[in-house]
Amino acid sequence: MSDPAVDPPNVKKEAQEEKKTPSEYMTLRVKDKDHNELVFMVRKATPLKKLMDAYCVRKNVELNTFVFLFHGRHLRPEQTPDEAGLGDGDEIDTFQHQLGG
Amino acid sequence: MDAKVGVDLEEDLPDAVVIKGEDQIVHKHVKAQVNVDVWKGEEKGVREHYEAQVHVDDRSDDEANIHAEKVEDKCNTNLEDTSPMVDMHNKGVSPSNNTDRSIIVYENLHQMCPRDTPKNLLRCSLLIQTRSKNVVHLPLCPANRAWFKTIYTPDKWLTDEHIDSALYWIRKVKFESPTTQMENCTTTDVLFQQHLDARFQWFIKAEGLFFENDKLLEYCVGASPRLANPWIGVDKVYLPLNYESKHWVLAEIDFITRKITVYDHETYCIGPRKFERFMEPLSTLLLMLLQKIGFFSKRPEIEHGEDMTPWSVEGRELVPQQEKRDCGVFVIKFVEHLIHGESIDSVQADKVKYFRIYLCLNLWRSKIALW
Repeated sequence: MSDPAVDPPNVKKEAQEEKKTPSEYMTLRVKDKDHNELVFMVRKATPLKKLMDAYCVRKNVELNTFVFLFHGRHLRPEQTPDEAGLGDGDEIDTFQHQLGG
Repeated sequence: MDAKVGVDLEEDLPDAVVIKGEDQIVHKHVKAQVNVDVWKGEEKGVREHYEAQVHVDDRSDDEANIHAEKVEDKCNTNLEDTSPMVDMHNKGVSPSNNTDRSIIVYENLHQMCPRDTPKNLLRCSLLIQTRSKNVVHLPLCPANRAWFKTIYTPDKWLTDEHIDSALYWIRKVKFESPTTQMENCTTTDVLFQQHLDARFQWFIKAEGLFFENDKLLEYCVGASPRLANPWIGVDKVYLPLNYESKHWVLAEIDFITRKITVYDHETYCIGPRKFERFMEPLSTLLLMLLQKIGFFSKRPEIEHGEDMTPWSVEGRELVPQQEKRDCGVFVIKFVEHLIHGESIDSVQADKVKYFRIYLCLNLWRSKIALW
């Protein structure tokens, strides 16, 4: 009986938090060329470097192995999602970073 | 060259050039290492200068560690002569409490330097630091100083972003001057090869080859990359190909003669057997791609029948000799020449330095056109 009494305030609190920070986070879907998808939840003001590093770590490869593109434009690690024009639920494509000489 | 100097220059100076003047006040309280960027304006000193300043490229330096930067420029005298718009601002020294860096703003470069010899322009662009984190926005990617530096520094390898931006610029030139005589052709970008390789793995595993909203088909119908033409309307397609992230080559698909030609002097570097494997995805999947978009039914003049044998891949003989490490520049230059219907024989290794500078300038200008 005590549970229902405890729960509502908790729920309320969570709802409040969500209300407070509805715009702080966004989900970004990172897709590789084989169409495997990883979903990241990122803070809008955090530079994308964090996401990129997390992706590389997740894929077990060295950092800077991939390039990240949004609508054909390269994303730079120091950009934040806001600066790059990313919105909630947007899809980022990844490709191998290539060099040649 | 390195001294501990804190300089704070005024930030909001539209259309103005801020150049550090004679006053150099040494500030002893600067805790962090401050880079003093001295552009000597002398050909001799350039290399050593870059080597000494390599750490400027580091992102962390760009973002936070540098509190101020001083630029001393010998070419400012030239600039003053050539352009009345150049202002010389010189402000006092502030302690290291600011995170702003000294800002050199050269906007409207065209108007600024009426006598824009390549050298002058290049010097201007070298000193560029825009207000937003030292990044300028090119059509396809944001670029910082290190990005441009890679292009004009001899022996530096070009990355996929450079090749893409350069090819975009070439397509843009073609797009904006439809009346001039050019080959009826288009280009892809570097990502095409990656799509192709990924798809080839599927093909080997005999999985479904195409699906809806296929990126690979977007290339064929001209939806990607930007300003490309549909393959149905062209005779030739130029593709930049990357070999194991260490070498760039240019491939040409000729729909009329049904051939794939590879422009690469160093074919032997890859080795004949590896080369065959390297080109296999393109030669195998090309016909399927073309069939998927109904290429042969719309181009009846191309004799095809039901022949599904892959088109022959040839190495173009007598490709101009290129130095090592410059293959990216050569690929861009080959595309430029071939699109304009010129012989590629004039692309010679001894002009690479000039090519690099011009490429750098043209990409820089493509940024200005945006604003």
